Amino acid sequence: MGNDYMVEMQHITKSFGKLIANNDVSLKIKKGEIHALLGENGAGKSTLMNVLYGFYGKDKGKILWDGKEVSIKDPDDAIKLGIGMIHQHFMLVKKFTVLENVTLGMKEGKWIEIPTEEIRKRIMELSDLYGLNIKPDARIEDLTVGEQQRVEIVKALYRHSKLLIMDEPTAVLTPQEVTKLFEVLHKLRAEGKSVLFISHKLPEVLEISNSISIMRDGCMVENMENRPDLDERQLANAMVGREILLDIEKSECKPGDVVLKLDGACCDGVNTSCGVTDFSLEVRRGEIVGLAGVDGNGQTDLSELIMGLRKQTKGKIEFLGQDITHLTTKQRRELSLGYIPADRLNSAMVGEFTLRMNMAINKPDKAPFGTKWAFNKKSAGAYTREKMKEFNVIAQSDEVPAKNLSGGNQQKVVLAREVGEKVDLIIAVYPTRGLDIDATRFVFDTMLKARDKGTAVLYISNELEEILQLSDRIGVLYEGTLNGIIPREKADVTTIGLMMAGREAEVIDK
Amino acid sequence: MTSIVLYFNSAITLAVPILLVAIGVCYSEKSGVYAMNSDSSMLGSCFISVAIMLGTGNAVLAILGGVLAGGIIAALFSIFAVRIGANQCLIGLAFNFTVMGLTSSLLRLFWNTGGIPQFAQPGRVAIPLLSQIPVIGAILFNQPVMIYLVYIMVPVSWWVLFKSTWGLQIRAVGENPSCADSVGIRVIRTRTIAVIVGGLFSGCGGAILAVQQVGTFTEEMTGARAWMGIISAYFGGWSPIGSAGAALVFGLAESLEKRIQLLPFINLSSYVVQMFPYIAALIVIVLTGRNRRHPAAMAKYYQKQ
Repeated sequence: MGNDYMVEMQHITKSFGKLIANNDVSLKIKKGEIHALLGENGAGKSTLMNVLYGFYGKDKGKILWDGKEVSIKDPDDAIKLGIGMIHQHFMLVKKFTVLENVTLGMKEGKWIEIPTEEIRKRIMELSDLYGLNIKPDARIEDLTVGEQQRVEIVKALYRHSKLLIMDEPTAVLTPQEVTKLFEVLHKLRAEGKSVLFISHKLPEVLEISNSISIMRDGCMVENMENRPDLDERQLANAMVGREILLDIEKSECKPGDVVLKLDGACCDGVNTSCGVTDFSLEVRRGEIVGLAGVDGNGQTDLSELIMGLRKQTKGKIEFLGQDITHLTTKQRRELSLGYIPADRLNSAMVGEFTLRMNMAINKPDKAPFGTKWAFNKKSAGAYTREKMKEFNVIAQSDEVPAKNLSGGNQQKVVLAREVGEKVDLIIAVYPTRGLDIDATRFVFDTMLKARDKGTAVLYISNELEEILQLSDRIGVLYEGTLNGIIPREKADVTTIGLMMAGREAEVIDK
Repeated sequence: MTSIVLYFNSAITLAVPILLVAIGVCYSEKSGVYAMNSDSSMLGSCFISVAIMLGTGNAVLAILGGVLAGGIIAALFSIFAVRIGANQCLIGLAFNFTVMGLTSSLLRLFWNTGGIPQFAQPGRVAIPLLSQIPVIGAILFNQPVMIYLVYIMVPVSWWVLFKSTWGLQIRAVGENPSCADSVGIRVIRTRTIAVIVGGLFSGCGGAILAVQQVGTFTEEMTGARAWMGIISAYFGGWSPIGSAGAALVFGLAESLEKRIQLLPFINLSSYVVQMFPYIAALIVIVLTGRNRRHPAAMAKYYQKQ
């Protein structure tokens, strides 16, 4: 006893082939603290966590648990010690209920029949104790992302976890859900649990953590206590290793002609989505219209409706005065517009295809990618490499599969394809989801540059901060309708927050 | 009246081998392994059980041997499909063809061209009281003993898959193996066991077909029954109870085929009549083929990083 540290990782080295993902990394986490692990994508945070959780073996180094050296060969060992991991992509079986998910993999008591009542009671107790607000019999696929995350927390707590590893827990949450999560984390800390909080969002790290460790290029570069005088700039510099600018400079907005006009457009939802109802909106040249909204309020439906991926049931869509309501997606694609879908690896790219193929995928029959008859490898490759340079894509060559790239580099390839040439309209849905500071910054710059050149930008996101930073006008999506649109000057977090929750905004703009 | 009772009675008897395969398929596919190998376990079991029957004359021993043979064949299949990660569909077909060829060769080797002698099949046992219920009693409770066991297997398998801890693990592995892995379930082991249990059931189906219904071994004697079992599982949404209902549809079609051949006034080619179960299968697939949500990780190989 008397040991202050829950876990100590000492001199961990782990490599994959030639790539050294962790180079002599040490990390100590105290009992009852929230410890933030910061780093850009690819800095080695996830590798380190996977070593701790037993997903990967380590090449060198040792792990002490409560002062004693332990060997963690697989997740089972980690779970037995009391380590709970909450992955960024939740490890939940969607078709199962909360209760079934919690039951999975429990070793205590080798039951034959699942003691449903006992488990349900325990879940309710934990839910009450930590304010998780969970219904044991709900099916995972019916829950919001925030609720699913709390199910993951219950899962870990149910197994008496003393250390919770959370891999970028706020990346998928709305502002309200983040606040709720932080309340839960405070309660966990109060009960003596330790939390390892992995993130690259600086403000929240400063807000929530007791101590901060920063990784860069596979090495641990900083281990420090959180002090009131720390600021975002210091953290960002340590993380990126050089001076970076956090503020955005924006020129004055000079809106021109209407590029995209929706007039009472409707479409039905698919699966659990709400669809789009009676949606009217104008986006002009040289302006960014930001659409805020809690996840699942028709963001994807709206963008897919505009792109012709959904059957339009009512209303009209115009592009530069031309009625495009009845055009196919291919015909719309031939207009001058760029579309950045929400789901990078499912809608925007084919993960197994090379970067070159991904660049060519929406116009393989046009120069420089090829002709009507054949794909031209050479000129497609040359064009791809040129764009990769221009968009700062870091990859070995244009022939690596897209899935091997980090999220940021994937998104840059998508940007290069969609807005690499001048377009009249950009539709971007969650374009910064899961990206690090540098890549996010790059997306912002691309959007602003396009706007200044007279492109109309429709920017759909659930990150309120981003919307406020970028937009010239801000609309709010609520249950598939436009719940008001206001100029940037009149928007603040409270107003937009209320509108996001469905409250009627005072009609400020048309 | 009696002919209707006989019709349904024989439909149940004929449905049983298909039903057993279907239950086996539920175990295997719920764990995420495509049960294309069912026919190999079924046919292998037919052969072994007939061999034991001829050797010992003991039907119980013959059926147990068949069940075991089905499990062993499935265990071999699982090495390729679960451990090595070969394409489950192709390796399943390869197993089917291998067993088909092997049983035909062994048949010729041991019994030359004369074929295997026919043996007497175990008789029916009417359950007291229950068999006295009008109509239903005669249909359900005047069957060979093995078939009563099957009545129990359906609810038991349903309970195992949907209520037991082990069933929860099987389903988790078939829906999201990386999630199962992260909570400490051994994915490979769970899948291997599920596939073997699937093989035991297919084997049981084969043994009952050979020992109870046909009373001898003939080349490729399973016909398309294993495939109908796979379809039944699909049709029944991978629930043993639903699959039982689906298998019964095939039983009814097969029974109809046998009845029609006996009717003197219907002049249909026997080949046309024999198509009935297959046409039933086709209709079932066409009617229900859409919107069946199979286990999310079905036919997907899982490997630890």
